[in-house]
Amino acid sequence: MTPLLSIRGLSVQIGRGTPVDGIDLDIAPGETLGIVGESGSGKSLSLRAILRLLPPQAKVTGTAIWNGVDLLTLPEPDMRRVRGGQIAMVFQEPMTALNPVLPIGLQITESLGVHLNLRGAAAKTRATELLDLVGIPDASRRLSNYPHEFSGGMRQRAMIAAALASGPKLLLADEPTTALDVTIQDQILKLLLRLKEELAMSVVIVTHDLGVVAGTCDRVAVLYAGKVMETGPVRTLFTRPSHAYTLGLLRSLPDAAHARQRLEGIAGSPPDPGALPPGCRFAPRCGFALDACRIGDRVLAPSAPDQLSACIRAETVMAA
Amino acid sequence: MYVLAILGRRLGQIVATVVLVALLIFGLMRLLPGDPALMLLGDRATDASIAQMHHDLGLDRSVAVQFWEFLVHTVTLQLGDSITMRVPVISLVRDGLPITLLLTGMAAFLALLIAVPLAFVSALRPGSWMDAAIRTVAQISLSMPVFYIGLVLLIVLAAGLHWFPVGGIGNGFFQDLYYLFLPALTLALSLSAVLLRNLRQSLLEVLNAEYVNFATAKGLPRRMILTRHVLRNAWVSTVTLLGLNIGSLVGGAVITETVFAIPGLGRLTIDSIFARDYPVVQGLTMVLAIMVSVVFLLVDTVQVLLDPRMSK
Amino acid sequence: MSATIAARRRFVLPPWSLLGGAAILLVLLACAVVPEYIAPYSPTNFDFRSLLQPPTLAHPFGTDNFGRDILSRTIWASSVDLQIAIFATLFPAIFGTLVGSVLGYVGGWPDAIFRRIVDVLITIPFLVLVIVIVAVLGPGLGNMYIAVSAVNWIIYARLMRGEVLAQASRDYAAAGRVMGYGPIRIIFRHLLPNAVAPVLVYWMTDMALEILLGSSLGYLGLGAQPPTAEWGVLIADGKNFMTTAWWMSIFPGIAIVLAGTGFSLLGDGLASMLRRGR
Repeated sequence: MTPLLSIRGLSVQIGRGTPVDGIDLDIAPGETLGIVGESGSGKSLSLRAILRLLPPQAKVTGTAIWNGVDLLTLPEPDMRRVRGGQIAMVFQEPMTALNPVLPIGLQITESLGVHLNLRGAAAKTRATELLDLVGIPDASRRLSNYPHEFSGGMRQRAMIAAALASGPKLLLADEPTTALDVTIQDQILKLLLRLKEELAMSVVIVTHDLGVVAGTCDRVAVLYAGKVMETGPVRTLFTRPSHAYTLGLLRSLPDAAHARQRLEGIAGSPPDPGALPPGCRFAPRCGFALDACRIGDRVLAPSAPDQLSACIRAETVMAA
Repeated sequence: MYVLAILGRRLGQIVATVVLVALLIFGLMRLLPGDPALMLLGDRATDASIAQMHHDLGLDRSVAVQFWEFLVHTVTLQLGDSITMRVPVISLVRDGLPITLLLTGMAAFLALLIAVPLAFVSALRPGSWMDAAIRTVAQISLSMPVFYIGLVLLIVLAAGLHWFPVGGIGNGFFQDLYYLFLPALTLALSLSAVLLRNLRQSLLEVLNAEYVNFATAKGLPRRMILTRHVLRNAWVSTVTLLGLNIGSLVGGAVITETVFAIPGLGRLTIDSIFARDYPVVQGLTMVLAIMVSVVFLLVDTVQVLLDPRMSK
Repeated sequence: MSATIAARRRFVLPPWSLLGGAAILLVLLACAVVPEYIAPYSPTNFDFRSLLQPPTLAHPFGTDNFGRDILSRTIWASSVDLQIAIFATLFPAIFGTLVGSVLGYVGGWPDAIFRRIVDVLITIPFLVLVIVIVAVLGPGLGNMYIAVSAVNWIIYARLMRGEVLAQASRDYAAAGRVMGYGPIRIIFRHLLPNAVAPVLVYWMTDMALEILLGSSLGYLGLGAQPPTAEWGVLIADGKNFMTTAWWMSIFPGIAIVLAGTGFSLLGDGLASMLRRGR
């Protein structure tokens, strides 16, 4: 099956650092892909780089093929049609991502006007439907409300409605639940999954929360220090990780089945993107590391059916 | 309705502040050296006439009573009589206030006209040569005292090129606009440097705000993002800034009026200080403080209207 | 964490604004301290053979209506204006910082009173208030320092109060209280050093502002009194010769711009250095 979006060698350079360094990812139609990593792993930057939302001082290289065109070199007017119209994005903080001085309704209808040429009463009707769709009660009355008049969960719903207004085929969600209360988190994730089915979209969810990935995603990519460490179907990757870093992440999770087991964290902290270690970037913190881990470049190689790992000790890790 | 409640509360605060301002000015004026009665009577003073004058001026009553009378007089606009000019202070205010209001109003308008577009040019391309040039000029005008800006404009545009009169005011409104243009420009240049600097900073913040990223991600054209998402928020900070700087604008007007020999409240204040005409100084300072307070209230109103968060 | 350590280890040049500002101020300081070695002529000697001379090689800034060399007078005036920068800000900066840090930590009714004072003082334009106080005390540099100090400390106190308020809400201040430290120790050993950076930056800006204010009062005749050579006074001297001898007013003004720019640059540089250090 041809992927919906195919990313090759995506790198982001800011100053002397390279926080995203040669990422390859494919997103299939109808798929939900999770991108996990610690803060600073480059997961949010990659997402923003795809839609070219980064400030000019960030240098983006690589390709992102969408419908046969490279989004990273597409002329700006064409790119505008892709943004919102074909690929939408929701952000972590609805309080800052929604404009505080504009009514919610306007922030939905402005997208309708640009992409679908819907204006006036027609746009208003559609906006009401959208608010209804994302589960905001009394939708028609709330169009004239301002973001500060909504609760946190409602704001996130409204932002999703604004993002999805023009019927995109792919939704990029940047930590969509991190800013919310735990009880609300679950509702928003369920909403995203429902919308994905109803609108026949693919979804990319960036998160640091493995629980979110386990509950929502089909496939997952694990990022560390700007590189993909491992990708694969959620189920096999979580039960038999083939990268020492993934194993470390999973072992640092509290697990209901092993309630009395001691939690293991990963010692140390991620490297500074301006001073990366040679060889595998995780090697300095890795319990499996050999001398060979500290030299050479890593490439993703099959470690199991459908599963790719950049770990040269994949077999040992899978046996652990 | 929230709006009215908020503004009502602000009005109450402002009235309380003005009463305290009155107390401060009243206190300061009691400290003025020299006996006003002596000054009024001059060489003709005798002990009896001084006592009589003290009684006429109310200076023989207790300080509290005097302050209360001062307050009542201020509220009822009985600001007393000028010692040197022998006319009621209120008539001096009536002559000078329109001129000072016109001058500061023109200056604020010109300052916005200068600062807002330049701040946009600067903030849209930070680090460009335009940005560098604009910031350098702003830095230099920030280091220029108002009276010096005025003199430079006078020397070049009035004395040198004869485009503008050297000072004074005109005859009628439209001539006034012409006469007041240079002084207003003087004030505007000094104010716009401050506005520009702060506005550039807040524009940069707005341009990097997440809601601008979200608007971009929705596929809106750049122009629409700027006019709708950026400009709206920028106005809020512009109005706030203007309000914060109203004091220095009025202070600048005092100096500008002196430099350009404009018969407004500012020059009158300076003249009265040199003449030790304390009822005039007292009355004018009150009027200037009330003027600033009214502007504060206006700024609050505009803020509430522009920013829906304020009315909560 | 690792990033900041790496940045500290690397040698960083101070920002150019800091160096530029320091260079300008060093030149002015030299003019203020040893004018007799820098100024080409005496600032006070009348020379009736060269009255109101336009700028020439012999008199780069021209001469005034008594034939005095304006460059020399401007150089001699530096000491007065630099004095203004220091004397008009020293007391406000120190007193305001102390009061502000105590108010920010203690809060309560002293803080409420302080906020009222601030309300009152922002309602009367700063310049008008200073002028009225100078009028009460009588014109002159000394009285101007008193007038400015009486008002200006409020600005430092307000700035410091805000900073301390922000710092006091952080965990280390709470930790200090848990450890049983007294308020004096917490304020002066823990909060003040952390909150003082913005005040230092403002101090530099304020020196520029006070030079502008001092020269304005000098121009109005309320500050430095003639024959003291002060930049504002020099400019006022030239006002009557505006149409015939523009140089009398224009050149002393350049010295003000230079001094103002010097202090502003120093403040900007300091600010960006402190940002980098964090």
